[in-house]
Amino acid sequence: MPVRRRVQLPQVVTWSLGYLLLLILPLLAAYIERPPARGFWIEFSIGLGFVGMAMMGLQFVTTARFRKVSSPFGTDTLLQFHRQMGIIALLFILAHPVILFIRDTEYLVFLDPRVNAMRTIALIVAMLALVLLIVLSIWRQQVKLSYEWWRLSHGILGFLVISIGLAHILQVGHYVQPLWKQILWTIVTLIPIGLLLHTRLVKPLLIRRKPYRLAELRNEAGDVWTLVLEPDGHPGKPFIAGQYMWLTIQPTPFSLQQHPFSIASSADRPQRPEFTIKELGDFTSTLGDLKPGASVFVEGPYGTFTLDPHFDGGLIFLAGGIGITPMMGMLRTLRDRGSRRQIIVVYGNTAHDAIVFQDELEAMQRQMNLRVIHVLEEAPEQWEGEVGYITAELLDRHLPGDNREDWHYYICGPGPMMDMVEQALIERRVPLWNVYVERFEMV
Amino acid sequence: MQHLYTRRIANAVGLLLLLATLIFAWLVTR
Repeated sequence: MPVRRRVQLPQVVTWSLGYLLLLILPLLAAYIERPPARGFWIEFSIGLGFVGMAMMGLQFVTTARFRKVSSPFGTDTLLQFHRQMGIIALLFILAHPVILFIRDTEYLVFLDPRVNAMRTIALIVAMLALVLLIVLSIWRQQVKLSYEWWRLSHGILGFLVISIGLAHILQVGHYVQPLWKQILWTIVTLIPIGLLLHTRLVKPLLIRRKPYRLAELRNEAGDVWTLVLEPDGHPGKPFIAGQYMWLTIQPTPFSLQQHPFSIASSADRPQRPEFTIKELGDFTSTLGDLKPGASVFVEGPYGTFTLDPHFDGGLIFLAGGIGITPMMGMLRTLRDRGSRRQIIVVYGNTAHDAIVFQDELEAMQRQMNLRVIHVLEEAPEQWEGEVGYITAELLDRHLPGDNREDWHYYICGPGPMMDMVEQALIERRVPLWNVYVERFEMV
Repeated sequence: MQHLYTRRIANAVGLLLLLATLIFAWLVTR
């Protein structure tokens, strides 16, 4: 009998309903003790502004890294959601002035600096900040903004938008005549600002108490490095295989530089976590220059790309390139625990010399009930493995054809590969809840 | 939860809110 993954459905429903309720709370508050109405389109536009503001406020919740919120959904799902809701919030908030100006040109007075220069400047700043917030997130790499500066700008721009938004609501005052509404709006806006401060200031203070050092820097393959850390004055943070941590490899945890990396080592050895990283961006390309002994600050662990403790059936790991790292963490943990579970790894790489952990996977095939299928884009001569990409047709050849629900599937790799594999699994009627995905190419 | 569905769910939430805002505008002006 297959043991089904215990879906945290109650939590998913509770958080989702709470989220929706908070989004329409401004409309409910506006409806109670309301002033005389001024026409459908004007009120519709005001409503869009209110809801847009609530969406913006809740954006700070979805990225606050609260385990209670993130674990039922998965962090990467929350970030995907955050990204899409940001775009929708932009549309709502932009529509607010546009509809007003179209319905009644009198509202253009808000943009007239002769009437109120401060107000004009603040509103234009807020709108520009909002547009920049989204544009920089979608096209960060095209505009060549480093991740660190993007992250700082994202916090500052978000703060600007909701602070000016609150000031605007209170200054216009039409719907917030009763004092209780003004207090409510102020409190509700202070919460996201508090969350921002918590993530950017309080968390670094907390992680400073448990510092790590770089114990070893190992070159795995051409541009892939393994950072081996050791805790400095504490036993190390326990983690679950497959999770990731935010690393700051700087003398201070307040540095702008903070990147999420999957833990590649066994969960049975929290006193020596390893992170295997490929040189991809501006930060990772400097990894080779690090010196052992360097101080590292670690936030986490986070993530739900982990083995289900209530499931002991077969595992299918579908990895593209460096996406193998969280699965390596799981494989090493299972090996350390003497597991005999049936495991299939489909591992795609560009070329033969780009395969990371090749020897260890080879050894694992002898030690465990494991089968590794290598897929190379460019295969050397006499290569007997698969050639090309991980396609639906290739999965059909190597994955079990029946009892698909008896297996758990893990996908991690480049975006296009994950899209393709996810779609293929869904088309093959693999139950949604048996599929785990990990994405970190968000911005 | 699936990535493929996340965007659709967010879009559905957006549409739901648009509807809620329309209802709000109708309620306060009727």
